[in-house]
This record gives sequence, structure tokens and C-alpha cells, in this order.
Amino acid sequence: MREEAIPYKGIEGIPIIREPGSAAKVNRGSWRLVRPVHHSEKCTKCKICYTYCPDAAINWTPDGPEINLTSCKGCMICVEECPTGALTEEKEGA
Amino acid sequence: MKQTLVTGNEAAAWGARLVRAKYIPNFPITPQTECIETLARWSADGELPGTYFDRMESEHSVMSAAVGAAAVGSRVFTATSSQGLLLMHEVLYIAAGMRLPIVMATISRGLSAPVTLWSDHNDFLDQRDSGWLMFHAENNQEVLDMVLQAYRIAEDPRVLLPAMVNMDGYVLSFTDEPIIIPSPEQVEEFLPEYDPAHTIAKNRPVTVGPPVLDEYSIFRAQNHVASRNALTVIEEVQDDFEKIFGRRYHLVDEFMLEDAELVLVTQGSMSTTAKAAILEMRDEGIKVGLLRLRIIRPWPNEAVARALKDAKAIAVVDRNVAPGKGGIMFPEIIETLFNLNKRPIVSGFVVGLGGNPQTESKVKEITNKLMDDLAAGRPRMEWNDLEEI
Repeated sequence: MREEAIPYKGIEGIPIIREPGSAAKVNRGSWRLVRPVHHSEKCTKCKICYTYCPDAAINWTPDGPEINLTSCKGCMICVEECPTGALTEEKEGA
Repeated sequence: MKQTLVTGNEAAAWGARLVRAKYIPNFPITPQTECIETLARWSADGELPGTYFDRMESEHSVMSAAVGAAAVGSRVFTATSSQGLLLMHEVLYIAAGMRLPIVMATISRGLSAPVTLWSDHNDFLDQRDSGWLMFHAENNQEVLDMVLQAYRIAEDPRVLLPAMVNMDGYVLSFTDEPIIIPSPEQVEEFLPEYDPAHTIAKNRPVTVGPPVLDEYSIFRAQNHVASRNALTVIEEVQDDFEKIFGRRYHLVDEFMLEDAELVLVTQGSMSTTAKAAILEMRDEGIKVGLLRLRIIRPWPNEAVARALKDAKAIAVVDRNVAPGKGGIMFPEIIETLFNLNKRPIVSGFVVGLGGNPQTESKVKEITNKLMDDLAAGRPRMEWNDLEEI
């Protein structure tokens, strides 16, 4: 029987990512449908959004939260948890 | 090197000990238990220095832990049976996909329901498409030898795939046979330390088995090619193995095939019984031989076709069943012979499920039926061990 010869790629053919931290170079938020928007006038800097973000997509700055939109998937947990309404939901591409 | 009486379970444990497995995650299940008990005793007695014997809470965890340990470059051994093997099933694909050369002894036992503790091959063959290398031993010496060979083959850079070494529950697992246990020095010569280039290390942080998009098919193809490469590697390692241990194995086990018109195709321990029956039938002038399938994956199609090309009629004796289809190896044999110029008659027999004994008289009965099929020019598919209940 004739069999199609597929070249063997050695360890290059094994599904591994060799470069540590390479995810930082990729836009992991490209499929987000909604985004959180921060309103600093209502913010008490309580850090609840920063603590609750499941993807560590919120950086903390002296001025309050800064949403990293290459990491944020738009889950809106921060909006749900914000006690003062300083974070609101906005449609992507609206 | 010493000759001693050991069970199939102990033979597998000796294999793990001699290859200096670094990590042995385990969960007990009949009929594998004695293999794990043996390793536990050695571990407690300090006879497995450098080995972490890890008791887990399920077989799913066992294989998950095995994947983790192999991913950091450890040589891993484990063993299981039946329902335990099925519980591992999901993780088996992950071990193969990550190309981790774990070696596992599987001790065949029929699947529930209804519950049986006795042997058939459905648990083992259920893993057929998992990407693992699959070896099936006929006796306890082959169990030990194949554990040693499995590591050498699995760890070869052209392969890098996990491997299963199967033995039949009870018939081998709990039966003492005289086998030769090689010395640690011999095994060290045959199998050096495992030094993988693709695993996680302190100075080599990598992500193993990440999500992919278009590349998925490429990696699956590489799993396939690696498995096909193993056919070459299996043949290559026999020279070294024979030089060091004095024994040699082939891709298929051929018994009295030179002039055989009738051929039985079998797997595992029932082959020994069938060989004894064949010797008696040969005395009666019946030209019958046997082909034992000892490597299920990668499938040695050329070796099988070469061994069977001159047969007039073939009985594929399956100790397993795919309900709604028939024996599992029956169609594989037919497919392998389909493109021959001169096709033999191929009949299928499902036998010995749940430990139903495979006696010499049953082998002769199958051979007689095969003679009838040849005379009639028509193959059959038959469930051979049904008795009046």
C-alpha cells in the first residue's frame, strides 16, 4: 500500500511554546463583545475591581484602575462588583 | 541475571524497577493490584532509591500526575486494568498529544456491566486510537522484556510517544512462570537515563500542549508519523536487546506459517494454548499455523500482510467484541489483506470474553470450522463461546 510521506519534524512537531511570556505579545481581548469603562469622578479607589478581575487585566495606578484591553475578555465582573458605579459596560464597536 | 518464578504482575514491577522509573503514580484495581503491591513493598523496604511511589485517589489522577511528571522529564511507570483504564482514557490522548514517553502495564480485564474480574481485551483495545504505542505480551518473560523495550522505543527522539504493555489478567497476572530477570547493569547498558529535549526544566520554561488554531492537524499528523516511525525503531532495538539479553522479538510472532494453508490470528496468552493445539493438529497432517499480533499500534501492516499472503483461509480469533460490528481485529486483518493479488478467506471468531477459557479443543473446533469455510468458499463471523445457560 502506498502511504503519503509526511516529514517528521522532531521536537518542532510537538505542541509546545518555547518562549516564556509570549502571550503578552498577543491581543487576548480581540473577541471581547463589551468593555468596562472607568469614570474617575465616581471612583473611591477601593480596589475591589482590581481584586475581582479573574484575568489580572486591571492594573492599579495612583489614579485608580487602568483596564488592560489586550487582556480584558469583557466578563464585566468588575462592573458587577463596583460599589459606586465607577465602572460601566459599553458595547465594543458601538 | 537470575532465573526465577514470577507472576505477570511481578514481571511488570521488575520492569519498572530495572528501568529506574523516577515516578510511579498508582491506584489499585483487580487484577493489576499485585503489580502495585510489589512496587509498594520494594518502595517501603528502600529498594527503589530515587523513585517517588505516589498513591493517588483515582486512575484519572494517576494519568494526570504521570503527564505532569513526564512533562518535567521524569521516567514514569504506572499500571492499571479495565475500568481504571477507561477512567484514564481522556488523559491518554493528552499524554500522546504532548508526546510524553510514559510506559504503562495494562492487565486486561473485561468491562462492566455485568462485572467480571476475568480477562478479555476490550479494555486494552478501547485505547486503540489514543496515539499510544500498544504492545501485547504472550507470557511473563515478554511482559518484562516489553517494559524494558517500551521505554527504549518510547523515548527514542523519532518516536516520543507513551506505550502500553498489555498482559491478560489472571492467566498471566497471577500465574507464576520461570523468567530470566536481567541485572541492573544489563538494563542500564540497554536503556540509559532519559534526557528529553522538549520538556519543562528550570532553565527551560515551556508551555506544553497549549490551545492551537489551524496547526491542530499538523500536530495530529506528527503523532501519526511518530507512531509509524516506531515500527522502524522496534526492529532496530532488537539487535541491542539480543546482544545484551539473548532474546529477540519481531513485529509479528509467526508460528509454523511456512507451509500453512490455515492460519489462526490470535493475541496474548491464548496464543500459547493455540500453539500447543497446532502442534497436535500438525501430527494429524493438518497444515495449520498461527500469527500472533504482538504490536497493535503502530499497526505492522507489511509484516502482517507478508506473514499471511500464502494462507488459503484465516481465522481471526478476537478475545473482544465491538457490539454491532464483531471482533475488533477482524476488520483490521481484512483491511490489511484487501489489496493482495490473491485474497484468502477470512473468518472471524469472538471467543473467551470475561475469561471464558480458551482450551485446545476450542482451538481445534475453530480450525475445523475454518476448513469447512475453505471448502465452502465462504467466510463466517461467529460467537464461539456461547454455552446453554
